[in-house]
Parts: sequence; structure tokens; C-alpha cells
Amino acid sequence: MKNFLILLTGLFFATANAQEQEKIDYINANDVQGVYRAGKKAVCISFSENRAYDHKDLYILQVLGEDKVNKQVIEVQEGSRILDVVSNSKQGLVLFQNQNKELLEMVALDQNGKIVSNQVYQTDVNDLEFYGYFTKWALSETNRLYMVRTYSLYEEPKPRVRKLVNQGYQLLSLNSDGTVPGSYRESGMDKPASDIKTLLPFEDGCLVFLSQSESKKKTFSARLEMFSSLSIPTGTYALSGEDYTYYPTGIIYNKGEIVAAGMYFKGLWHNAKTSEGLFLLKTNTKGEKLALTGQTWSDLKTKLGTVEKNDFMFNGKTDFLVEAIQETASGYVIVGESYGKSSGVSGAEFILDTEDNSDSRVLSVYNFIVIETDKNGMLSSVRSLKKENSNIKINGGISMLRNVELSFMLKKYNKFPFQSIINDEIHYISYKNKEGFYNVMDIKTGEIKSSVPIKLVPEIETEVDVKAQELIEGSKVLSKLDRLSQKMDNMDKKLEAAGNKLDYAISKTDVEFYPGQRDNNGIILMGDGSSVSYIVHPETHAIYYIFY
Amino acid sequence: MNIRNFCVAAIMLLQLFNVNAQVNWQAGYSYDYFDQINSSRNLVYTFNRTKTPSIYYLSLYTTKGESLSTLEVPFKSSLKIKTVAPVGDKTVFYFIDNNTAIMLLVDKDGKELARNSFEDKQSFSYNVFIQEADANSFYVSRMVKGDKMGHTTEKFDLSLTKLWDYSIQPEKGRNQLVQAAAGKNGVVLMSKYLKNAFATEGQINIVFLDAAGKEVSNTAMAELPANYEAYMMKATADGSVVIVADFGKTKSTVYPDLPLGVNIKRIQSNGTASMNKSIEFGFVQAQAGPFKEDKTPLYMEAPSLRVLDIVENEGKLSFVAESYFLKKLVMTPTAGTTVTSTFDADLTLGDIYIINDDDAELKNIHRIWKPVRTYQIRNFFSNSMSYIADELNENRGFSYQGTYNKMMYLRGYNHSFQYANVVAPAAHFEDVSQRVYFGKPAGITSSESTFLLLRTDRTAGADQFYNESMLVTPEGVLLYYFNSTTYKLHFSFIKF
Repeated sequence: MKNFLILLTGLFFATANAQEQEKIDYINANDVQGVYRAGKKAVCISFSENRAYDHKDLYILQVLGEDKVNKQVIEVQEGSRILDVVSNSKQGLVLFQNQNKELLEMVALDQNGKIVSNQVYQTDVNDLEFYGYFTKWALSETNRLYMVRTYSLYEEPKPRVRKLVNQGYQLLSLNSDGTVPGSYRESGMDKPASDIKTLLPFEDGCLVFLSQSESKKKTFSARLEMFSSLSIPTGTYALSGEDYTYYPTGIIYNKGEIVAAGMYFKGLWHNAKTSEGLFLLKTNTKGEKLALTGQTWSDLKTKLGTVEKNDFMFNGKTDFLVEAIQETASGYVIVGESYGKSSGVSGAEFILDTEDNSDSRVLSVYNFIVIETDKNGMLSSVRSLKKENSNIKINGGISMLRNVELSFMLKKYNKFPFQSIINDEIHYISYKNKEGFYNVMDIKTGEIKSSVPIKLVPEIETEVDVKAQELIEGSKVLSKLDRLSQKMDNMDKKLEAAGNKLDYAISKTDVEFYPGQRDNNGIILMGDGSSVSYIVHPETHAIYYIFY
Repeated sequence: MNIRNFCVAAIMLLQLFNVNAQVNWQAGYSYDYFDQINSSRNLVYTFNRTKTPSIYYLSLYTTKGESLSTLEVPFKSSLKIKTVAPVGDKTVFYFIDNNTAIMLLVDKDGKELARNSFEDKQSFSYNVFIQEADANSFYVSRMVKGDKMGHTTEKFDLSLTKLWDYSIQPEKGRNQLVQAAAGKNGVVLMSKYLKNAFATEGQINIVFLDAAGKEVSNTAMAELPANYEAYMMKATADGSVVIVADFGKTKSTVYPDLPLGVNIKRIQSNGTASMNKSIEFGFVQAQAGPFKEDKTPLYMEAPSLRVLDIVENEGKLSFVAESYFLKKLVMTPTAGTTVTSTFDADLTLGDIYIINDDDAELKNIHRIWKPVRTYQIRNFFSNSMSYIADELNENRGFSYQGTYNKMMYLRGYNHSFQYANVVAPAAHFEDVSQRVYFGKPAGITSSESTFLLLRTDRTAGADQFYNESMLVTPEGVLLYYFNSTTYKLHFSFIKF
């Protein structure tokens, strides 16, 4: 009996500690806003209802992996929409903006995902007429929230043809209590509208990477702008000129310095057919250049030596997305993924003519490229770490963006395979026949140390119809029919599996992305090396998730 | 502890740690047929046909869903439970077929204490009221037919021995029993005298009987508002009785033939009225809302109110009502007949309103906001609100499920699921985070709203709203779920 007790207790704790699929049930998939990181926790937010009594919209916040019976309610202004959950390493803020766009509600969560406050920032009444939705936001480790929105102001009273009189962007520094210690507004009609690409907070300020482009006039400029924690400009660094254009897809803040890396282009942006190579830029927070180096693709190819796809990956047409920059003892390590535009039409698809004519585009993602540099960005080594190719299908208007801009978007939504670097190991997702695997690769050798299938299986209840079963058991004919039915079911399953394989063989699509739509599945990086994979499953009214 | 018991205990322990589901269903009870489930103060019961053609089963459970007993009730044609009432810690059932009644008394452990049957040709079609007199006796009030239609009230003890009866038999016309209510001083009857079988308007009398069956007063109600229709009567601690009625009739094209307001009367045992309030629904909306943001009434036509409960607390009465819109749809005569017509309607339930009897000027009508829910009512035999309210009560379809321990229990619908919740009477809305969702996805979502089906809709899937529901008792909430594939009834007891 004692042994039995120990066995049972052991069994219980083994079960409790295993990384097993969990679920949140009783959800309506249409109401689910998303699954987000909030500090050390992952949270799911669903719309509950409009409460007409006090004109509030109610949202339900549930912390994944916690007691899901204890739901928390977020009450926001009627008609508000959720912007995002912005997070630092400790906590998260749920951001809402109301329909008239003048109110920003910030629901602060503590490190356990518990709601601790709900504060409202109200736009100055003189600014209401031209402020739109916020487009970028970031939370610093010191809990300073930075919000960016662009604006366009038209002539009043409104003439028949609208005339633009001012445009620019606004950066707000906010405390989580809704107060605004500082703000900055860029304006001017002499420049094209700003496109804010990156907002990077750091301990005592933030950085904005923005571009201004006019394709008709073929003008393009890009720059880094640095601000203090009160949104006071501290410096700027021009990334574009007559000779070169630098387009950083990875930017970090490291001990008072800005380190940016990405592809660079010879001459004007709109004239460059191919990229020239990879650059690394270091500045201080005043925008003063500390180092700028460029490695041409041929330099990198030579350094890499003869490896598979070498010519293909470093031809300037295949692009390179900087996924991570980390400081090392001798300098920096840059991890990126090479990718290229794919036709989206496999051979089979071409033959079968199954390609639809919708706005879609496929990016193929190839190997990891690991580049090590010295402190000034001079190349030390380059490695190509082989992995399975991934094909990402992007739907909608943004699929027409230039590759490098598109990759930016996909990076934001975590659609590329790369997930994180932890202790010299690359964590990434790979696909085999549409099945995802969570892999860990040695950054030095490319050895895959582990590969765990991401298996989230919806729990579909199968109930035995007792009366039908009794009837079948009592009848030989029905028993035979039942067996036949089971065989048919098995055949269906085999056909379905074969169909999936055939579908993949034809489309070769691993990940499909619909910008602007909530993903029914995804992976949330928790910043500490762990991540959570989830699927929203409308048919079983549940969200399934698993921690890695 | 043997291994088997230990395993059961261990599995229950493991289930405690299963935080994934909001509701942990108990192991199921098998049924051959699942016809009816309900609760009384002391127990939960089901009443079903069986595989044996001559037997019905009355299965009894505790209010926490533990099985007590199953009693056999002999088959009668169309046998049904007419009413159930608690008597102390015991429970009395009144079954009826076309001609015969069966009274059955059980104790709190589900053991049968007494049973008798007698001729009753009226109760199949008319109301029967059983009222607890004290822990050892109860009153049964019902219609009887001698030369003319009248009514009788009898008092029984726990051996089902009749202690006395009080009967009214008119010499002509008919005297119909409308309501009955019992208190510590006796029983109160509301009757309606109709001159002939075709009359619809008649004289309403309130009869007070003391505990010995002696008539204390018999008073005709005077100066009633037009279209007065009483639907609730409750005896109060001070020996008076409170009567709730609809009055008036709307002429709206969108919501025609609905009451204009609610009338509340309090009648003392000597027959005098100590309170007589006629509260128009338009006034209620103007006082308590719902309002637009500019504080003007939200609806052009104010929602109607249905009083569902009278809560007595330290001598003060609170009338708990739920608002509704009843949109009557096209009447669909049954093909090939001229006798039976059926009716369709969409019933939208709104907020809870609480009216206090000490609020003489009605300045403090309290509204508790809750999400609206709409029932799709199809193929009904009547589209009167009284009929529909009865149907809703049978389905436990109103959001308000009762007040126990000073908290109001709600059955709601959101996210495609039903839920149970509690709300304090002083609150302005329910705490959404407390909701306990249960069952399978319910309702039909059209482009505009979600419809719930009542069991009597006789449309596909209509059983679900009845088969997955909640029973509220002073102990807490017993959720139940009848699995129509496995034919098992599952319970889950929750306490807020």
C-alpha cells in the first residue's frame, strides 16, 4: 500500500511537471483578440461585451498556465479597440485607443499578470482634429511608455479638393499613470510623410528609425532619431545619401551605444537593383558615428568558403534579415536569415495551374548566417548554418512591399523561423509537411541539439451512442456495416493525410500570414528563453497552448 | 481504506487540480428517458418514462446532486407533475392525469412517507397550489366541479390525512381559482367569478382563511385598472398578502397587446388595501433607465416588466422584475385545420429592476444591467405574456433564478455559452469575472443577434437549453447536463 501511494504521488507530480498541452475553454473564437506576452506571463484577451449601463466595453484577461477560473475584467471606453500588449522583461501594459482616437487607455499588469491599474491619457483638445491611431509603441525597462503616431493636417474650411498643410509624427513619453512628461512633434511640408519603421526604447530614452519616400519623385531618405526619456531630441543619424543607403533590420542598444546592422545599397534606394552587402553601424545616443563598416556579399562569400547555396545566398538578390545582434567578448555576433522572393508557384502548381490570382506572395527563408565581428564591426568569421527551408505566404496589399520592408513586417509578427538566442544556442521553428518543430541549434557548429514537434491537438469529444452501440452489437448485419464504416473512416483519414501531403507538395506553404487579421495560431517569445505556442480553435471553442 | 476507495479518492484529488475546465461534472446517472428535471427547496428530482410501459420513475437527489432514491409511480395516461412543494424538510408531489391525482410525500433522504390517489378531473387543465402551512402540514388549493365549477382548499398532515377543507361552489356561472398563497396565519385565495363560460371579465375576490380553515374575510376587489391580470400572490410575515398584476394594453405596431404597467396591491387580512400602486413602464424607464448618454430614455417604447420574485427582508418587500420586449411575429395557422393556430414571437430579456415597497414616490427604482438575450419562440399555442412566462419558467429561461442568502442568482448567455452568476441586489451590474460557463455552445446566431430555443419550440436542438441548465437552491447552484448520446445525467455543484 505504501509503495502504491508513492507510485501514485510520483505519477501525479510527473504529470504536473510535464510540458503538456493546456487549454482555455468556453471561448468564442470571434471574440478572442489575441495571445500576448506581458512581462513574464502570457495572457489571452477576449472581448466580453458592451456594458450599456456605463458605456464600457469589457474584455476578459486570462493568464496562460494559471488558474483560468479566475478571469480578470478590463473595462474600457465603449468602442475602444485593443492596440497591443506592450511588454518589458518584468510587466506588460494592455493598450486601448477609443473610436475618436483621443483616449489612450493603459491597463498595467504586474509580474503575475494581475491588473494593477487602468489609466487614461487624453489628447490635448487642440490636437484632436488630426490625431489618428498610434502606429508604434514600446515599453522601456524603466517602465517609460513611448507611443508614436503620424498625422496629416488639411486646410480649413475644407475646400473641394483637400489641401495638405502639415504632416509629420508625434512621439509621446508616458508614465503608466497616464501622465505625459514629454512629447515631440515633427512637422513640415518640405519632406514626404514619415514611415516609422522601428521604435526602440532604452534605459534613458528611445530611438526611432524612420524613412521618407516618394516613389514618383524617386526620393528616399532614412535616418535614426534619438530622444531622451522626455522625448527631447538628442541626435540624428542619416542612413541615406547619394552614395549609399543603409537599411538596418536589427538595432540594439548596448551600454550607451546604438548598434545597427542590415543590408546596404549602392546609390539611391529607388535605383538599387540589388543589395551590396551587410553593414554594422555604431553610434552614441547623440547620433554621433562611432563606427561604420560594410562587408560586401563577395567578401562574405569568400570568407565563408565553398558551402551549399553559397553563390545563391550571397548574390545580392537574396536578402538578409538581421534577427539578432549580441555583444561578445571580442565584438558582436550577428545572426540573420537569408531569404528571397519565391514565385509561390511550385513546379507542380505550375503544371496543375492551381495558382490563384490573389494578392499574395511567397518568401522562402533559407539558412542562418552567423557573422562575427570585432568591436568596430570588422568581419571576423561567417558561418552558414543549414536548416530546412520555410515558405511564408503573405496575403493582402502589403505583400507588394519591397522585400526588405516586408521582412520587417514579418519580423514584427514573428513569422520567420528564428525565435531567440540563448546561451549560444539558436531557438527556431522549422516545418516538415506543415508540421512545426521547435528546434535548438548550436550557434557554433549548427548541430541541432533538440527538435520537439509542436503538437497542439484539439480535444474533440467522441461520445459513444449507447443505444446505437447496443443495436449494432445485437445485429450481425449492423456489426458488419459498422466495421465497413470504420474502414471507410480509416480510408478517409489516410486520404486526408495524403491530401495534406499533396497540398504541401503543390503549395509548399509552411506559414500563411494575413496582415491585420488575428492569427489563429502563433508563438509568443517570453524573453527568458521560454516560449508558448498556441492555437485558437473555433470548432472546439478553446485555445490550446503549450510552453517550451 | 481499500485500494478501490483509495483510487477513487486519488482520482477526485487529481480532479481538484484540473483547472482547465470551469466545471467538473460528476459521474453520470444513466437514464432510459429524460423527460423532466427540477428542484424544490429540499431536493432535486427527475420524472421520466421508463422501458416498462406501466411505470414512471421519480428519481430524487440532494441539492448537491447525490442520488437518494428512485420511486415508481404507476402509469396513467399523460401523467405529469402538476406541482411540488416543500413541507418542513419533506417534499410533497402532486401528479395528475386526466382523471386521477396522486399525492406523494417524501422525506429529505428520498424515502417515501405517504402516498394517496383520488379522483381529480380538473387539475390537468387548471392550476393546483400547494402551500406549506408549517413543518407538519400543508394546503392544497385546486379547481373542482360539482354542479358548477368552483374551487376547494384542503389542509393535509404528513400522513396525507385531510384535516379540513373549504370549498366554494357557485349556484350559477363559475368561480375560478386564480392564485393561492399561504403564511403563518393561514391561506389566502384569489378567485374570479365569471357569469358564464363565455365571459372573460369577472369579479375578483380575496379570501383569507385562518389555519383552521375558517373564513376571516372575503372581499371583492374594486376599482381595478383596465386589463388587470394578476400573476403573482405572496403572503407576507405580517399576515397580509401582496398581489402583482399586469394592467393596460399597448397599441404599438411593434409591440402590440403588451401590458402598460404593473399593479401591486397589499391586502390586509380584513380585506382592506394598504398599498395600491400602478406603475407604468414608461415611468420606470424615465426613472431608472436604460438611458442614452444624454440621460434621455434609451427606448422609444419602454420595455415591459415581469415581476419574478417578492423578497421579504426584515418586514420590507422588494419586487424583483425582469424587463422584456415581446415582438409578435406572423401567426401561422396549422395547415388543414381551423381549430388550432400557433404563434411565433421573439422575446428579448433586458435588465433586472428592483422596486421597494417603502419607496412610496418610486424615486429609487433600482436597475441592474445585464446583457440582453433573445428567445426565438416558435409554434406556441398562445402569444400572451402569461403563457410565455410560464414556458420560460418551465425552462428556467428568465435570467433571474432566485434570491438566496441576500444574493441574486442569474442564468446568462455570452460567448456562445450559458453561464451562472450571482449579483448583489445593490449592484448596478454583475461581476463578469465570476461567471461560471457551462454546457455546449448554445443558440443560433443570425446576422443581427443570437437566439436561444425553448424546449417547447419543437425545433431541432431545442432540448439543449433545457438539458443543460442550472437549479438554484438555498445551498447553492447545481448545474446539470444531460448527455443525449450517452443518456447520462451529470451534475456539478458550485457555490459562489
